[in-house]
Amino acid sequence: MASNFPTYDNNTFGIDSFNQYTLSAFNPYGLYHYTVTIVSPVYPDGQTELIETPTITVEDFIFWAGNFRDIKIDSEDHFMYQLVNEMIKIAKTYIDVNLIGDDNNYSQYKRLVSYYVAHYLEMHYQLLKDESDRDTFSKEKAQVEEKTIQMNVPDGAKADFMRTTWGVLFWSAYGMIAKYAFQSEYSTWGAI
Amino acid sequence: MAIPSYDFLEKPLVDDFFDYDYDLSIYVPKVEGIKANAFVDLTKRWGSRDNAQAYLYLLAQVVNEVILSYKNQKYRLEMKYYLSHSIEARIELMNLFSDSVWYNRRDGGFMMAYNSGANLNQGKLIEFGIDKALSSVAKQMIENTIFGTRHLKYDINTKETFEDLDSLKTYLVENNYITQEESDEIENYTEIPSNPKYYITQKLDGGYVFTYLDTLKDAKANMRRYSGTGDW
Repeated sequence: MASNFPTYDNNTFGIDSFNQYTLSAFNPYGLYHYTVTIVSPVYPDGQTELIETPTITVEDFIFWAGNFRDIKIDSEDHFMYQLVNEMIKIAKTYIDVNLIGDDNNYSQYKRLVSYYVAHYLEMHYQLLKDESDRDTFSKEKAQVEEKTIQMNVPDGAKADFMRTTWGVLFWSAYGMIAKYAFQSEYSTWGAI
Repeated sequence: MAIPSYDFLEKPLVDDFFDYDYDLSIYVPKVEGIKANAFVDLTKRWGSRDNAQAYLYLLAQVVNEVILSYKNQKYRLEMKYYLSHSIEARIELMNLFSDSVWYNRRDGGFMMAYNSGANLNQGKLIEFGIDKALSSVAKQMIENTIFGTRHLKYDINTKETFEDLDSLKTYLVENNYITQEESDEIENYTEIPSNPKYYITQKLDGGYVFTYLDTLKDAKANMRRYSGTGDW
């Protein structure tokens, strides 16, 4: 897969988190206390070109998330069109194309962006329908458990994605990559 | 207009099939329209055309309320606007009215929704509810169409699309949203002054969408029941 999994150079290794790394200080023989210098062989840095982020349209989104094929959701007439529009832009900044690669005309990247948008769109639909009339001054209907969103405080970004089927699909494909990837000196935002 | 252009009516259409009540903002089927579409001569059943038309006026209110009962209360006015300005909605309404006329020829019909009783043995009140106002076929017809949704799928707000920033700026100047001097200084759509009357987004494949957010507010002010001379 043509991807740019980020490394400083060929002499680095990945860890789960900064906290885990710091805990290794309790181990006197842990790598925390040592600096390893490789004398030979030393390979030059293999810097590769950054992958250009592709254009993703609402049609691409509907291809991967077909259950949202509502009456012309890809038309400006649709109530959700602008929401999907903006969500795709947000998804493209959250998901790093350099981790995914550009194989098969960015199909994996488009898939992940679509899953990400579908995850939040599903929740937006539930809130807009407001089956229990919670967001009006009308009398509230009896709570129907299967129609409400679980509003437990999420335990990190992973739990947030576990709320919907689309979120599970997204995290199963992207979570393992994002969890161990580094961007500059910081781990991927929202992935810890 | 964000109701698709092929579906949009500038004002409610009155013809041989429908009349429009501007006080309630609903379509009312005509006796002749029901006879042509449902093959039921209501004049014979009700004794006179005036009686039959009065019956259809009551039926129209019932059908309208059943349709609105599917919608969240917040979106009621949007749905009434859609029902009054959509060709497709108008066609579906005639189908619903035809079915209701057939339903009402059976035992009770929509008047069953107004019935109530009591089980004296158990001391319980019996209400048939709005479910019985229309037939099961009509309910399925509602659920098969945009009538049965909790939220209207179309954005009622007027939208304009532009290929590039220059055409967007020209539109804003021509419609007095911004001045020419302000337009000359804008180099990116994010620099356009914000205004509660409109919302501008950039499309994913280029171009811009201008949404006029006061569409429904202006339409409500133009309702004949409020303005006296409005067109809906």
